[in-house]
Amino acid sequence: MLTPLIGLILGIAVLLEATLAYRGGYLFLLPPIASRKRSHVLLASGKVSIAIALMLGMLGYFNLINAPLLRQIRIALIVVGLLPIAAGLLQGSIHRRSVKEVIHLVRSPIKNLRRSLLLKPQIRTKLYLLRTLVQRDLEARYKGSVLGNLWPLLNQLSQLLIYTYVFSIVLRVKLNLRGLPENNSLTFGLWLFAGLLPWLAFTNGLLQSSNSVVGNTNLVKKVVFPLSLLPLVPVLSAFVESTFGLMALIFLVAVTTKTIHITLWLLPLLWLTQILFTSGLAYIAAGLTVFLRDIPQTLAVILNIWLYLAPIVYPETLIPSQIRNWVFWLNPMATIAETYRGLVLVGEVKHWGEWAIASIISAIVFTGGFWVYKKLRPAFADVL
Amino acid sequence: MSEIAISVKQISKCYRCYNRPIDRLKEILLPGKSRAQEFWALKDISLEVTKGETVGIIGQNGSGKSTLLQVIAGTLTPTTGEVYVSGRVSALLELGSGFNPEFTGRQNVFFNGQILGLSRTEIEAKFDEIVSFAEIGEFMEQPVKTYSSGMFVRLAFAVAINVNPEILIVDEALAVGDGVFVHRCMAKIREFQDRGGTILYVSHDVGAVSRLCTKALWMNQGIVVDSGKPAEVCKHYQAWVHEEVNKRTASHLHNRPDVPHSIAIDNQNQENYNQRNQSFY
Repeated sequence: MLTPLIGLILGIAVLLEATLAYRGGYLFLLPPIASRKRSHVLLASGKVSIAIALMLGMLGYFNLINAPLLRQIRIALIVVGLLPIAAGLLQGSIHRRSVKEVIHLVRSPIKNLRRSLLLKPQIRTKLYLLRTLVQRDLEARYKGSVLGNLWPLLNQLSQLLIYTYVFSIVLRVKLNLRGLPENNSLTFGLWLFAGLLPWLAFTNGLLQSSNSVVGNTNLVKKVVFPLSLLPLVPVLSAFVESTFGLMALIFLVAVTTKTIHITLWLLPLLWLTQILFTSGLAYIAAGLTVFLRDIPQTLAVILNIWLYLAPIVYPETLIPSQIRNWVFWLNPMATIAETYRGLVLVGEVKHWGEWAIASIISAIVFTGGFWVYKKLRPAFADVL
Repeated sequence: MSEIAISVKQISKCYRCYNRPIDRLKEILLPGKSRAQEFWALKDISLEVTKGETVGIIGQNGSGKSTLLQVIAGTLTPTTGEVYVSGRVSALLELGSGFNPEFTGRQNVFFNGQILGLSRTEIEAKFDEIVSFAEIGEFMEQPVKTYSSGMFVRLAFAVAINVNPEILIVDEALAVGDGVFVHRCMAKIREFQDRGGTILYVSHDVGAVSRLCTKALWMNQGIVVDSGKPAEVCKHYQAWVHEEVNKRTASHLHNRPDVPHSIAIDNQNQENYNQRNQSFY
């Protein structure tokens, strides 16, 4: 199952790169593949075709198409994709200079290793600025407090204790997890914590980023500032805070089960899905809050309800089986929480298919959210 | 051929006033009929500034000077037209722009430098110059919200000019500085001019504009009324201001003729005025 998922993610990446190159900007300085000229249709169509071929692997996993037929289709698509790319390259659509650059890059790897991290300088400056902003945000939050960085962890642990008490001891929800002591309050606590972590990161990130633009009026009106970074900052700081809890969780699991699961390596992929989803919604929330100041409060109410729409505080067996799949498909956070639990506590992934769908939804939400934000951005300085 | 630093082609800026905020949102996301009252702050302005020029912009409050500067600096999106700017722009658009009040002066210097595109090492190299120019001493380590307005402008100007921008935009911010500081600023600006930088200078101080600038623009109600050599444009502007004041004083005096004034009024009332107020002469 790993291969189709990686294929899917690679396919999305190639698709994004093709779109960017087609529109004239490019993220990665790979000269032969990204033409410097705008709107080179041949290269773009070739890349799209290859991307689709990569993504079709998912269909095979779901057994929607006969396997040999699928393989033939995919190979055909790849060949069909390579043809326009070759034609585009042969047409001389790349500058001869860029070919020399490639040779240069290959010849001096060490000196160019930084540059061949393959990001445009503007993008690098923006990433650096983003990093500074996130650091400042994290500092500012607990500035002057005695416990400082421990607060997010304490916050999460207190919620964990309350939920454990209510659900496990008061309501006596039963839980069976492989590898962990059965029907133990500690098990329930760990299980709950593993599910709550992404949820809290999501909620906090989203609520804070809805206020990120209206709270930074001077950055909108007085200074030339890359506004696309503003909603990302609270999302990333909430995410960083949740990693503290994650470290504590992994430590506790290692102590109780005396194993560290190899599936922990898949966590970065999961983080990517989570961040994409949260950022997409954050962009929409931040953009709309400038015009409708109700949005943060409305979001708070919606998120309170949303918590109970996902099997985070109760096991998924409580959801009737008819709608269980739909819950996972339509609610990416449910999938993400369940996958967190699987990866960290048990060491297996039960919901590959749902994870794939969640990543597609996250990518769509991110692009959609960013588009909305871009459309609204020119009007910010008029309103604030 | 000298290069163009700033090129502004047929810029207009319309501010739309809506009765309810949601109308604005509807108009952006769903194209259709406009539900707004429009106020045109800039009307079809075209301007070209070559590298090394210092352009002064003068005009009444509300004439569109700050709007034009914001459009050129990139913080405001024009409704029509295009802006082309080449090089790094350092803008002092308002007092304390870009400063986060909770953070110290030092942190704000680094932050502003990064926004302007400098890396941390570059800012560290320039940090001592900035501190010595700003002359705010120990307050560098205090949150910016404790600063007086003079300290704000000293730090802001120190950062703006020491990051070696290609274009410097100053929007009436220097009015807050004291005599010594203004003098030092002017010296630094001259240094900047000698290095070949471009400056856009908005001020109500007509004297400074005529001394400092190579070209001047007079804006009124969103259009450029006059442009050319600073001395002449300033003269025209001052004559116009004089007339405006006269007009207003004259109508004012029609209602209260016993109030003494030293500004000439229209000849009809001159006699009455002199007779009634002879003791004041």
